[in-house]
Amino acid sequence: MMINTRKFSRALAMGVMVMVAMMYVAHVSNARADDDDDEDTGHRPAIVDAKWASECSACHVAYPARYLPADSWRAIMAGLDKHFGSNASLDPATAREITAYLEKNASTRRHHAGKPVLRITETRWWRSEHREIAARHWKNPKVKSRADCEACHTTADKGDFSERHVKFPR
Amino acid sequence: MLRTIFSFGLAIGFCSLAVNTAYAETPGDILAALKIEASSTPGFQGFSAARGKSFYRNKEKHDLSCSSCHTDNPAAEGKHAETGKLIKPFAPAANPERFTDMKKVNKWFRRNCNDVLDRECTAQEKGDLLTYLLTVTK
Repeated sequence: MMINTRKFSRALAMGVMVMVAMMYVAHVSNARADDDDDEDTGHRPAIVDAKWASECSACHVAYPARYLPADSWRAIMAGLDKHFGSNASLDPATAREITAYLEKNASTRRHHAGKPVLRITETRWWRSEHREIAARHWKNPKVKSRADCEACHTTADKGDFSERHVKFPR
Repeated sequence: MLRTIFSFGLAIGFCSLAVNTAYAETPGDILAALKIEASSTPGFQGFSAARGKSFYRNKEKHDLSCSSCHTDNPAAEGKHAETGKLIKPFAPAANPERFTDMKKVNKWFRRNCNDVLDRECTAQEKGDLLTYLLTVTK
């Protein structure tokens, strides 16, 4: 009985170790697959703020915090009553929570001093990422605008912008 | 013992299910609250679905109305005029989640009235609109 218990726990320990090793390998290969030679891992941060996820996806895809620096997010959140032509105002408590989340997960890339960029599509990073996209895709009526990430990034709603999930609409 | 644990778990499961599907308010509650608010305006004579319907479609400023995004049929799926994002049906008959949370209702009236009319909507307008929406069938 004693030996059996010991054998069992040894087998269990081995099993757990093998599982951990497999998970590690899967994680590393996943990270490599997403490496589009930039800092973006293509995935959401580990902890996603629930209010950010619901409020910022009401009218458009929830643009990830990592695509703009903190001062841009602060400027955007301070002007929600005139948000790209729409009133997107929030109650103060919700606005505070979302601003804190955006600041915490913002891009840490160096950016120009001066007026904060308000559109992700105006960042140098975004333009460089999209420089090879043919004009005909932008002219496709199914692509509403450059802000319409979901038109081609089919998993943008899940925070995944990796290249392997890009599909140009016909 | 096991049976006790099992039935306890089952009970918890059912309770959380009930909590998840129950809404904080009903469209009737929200209409009643609007009525109390509107009653304080002198000359208030109740809400009208017909007035609500014309309010819904009327383009006053910026060539915009409720129907610009929610479409002419409030029971149909709409599309955001700017981003193209799908909007779930507006009428409670087609979307039971609508008008079940006063905070949410206030938020969207504040935003959308300001976009469409450059001002907040009155309790009369909101009540007329909801009265109309409640007459819309699937």
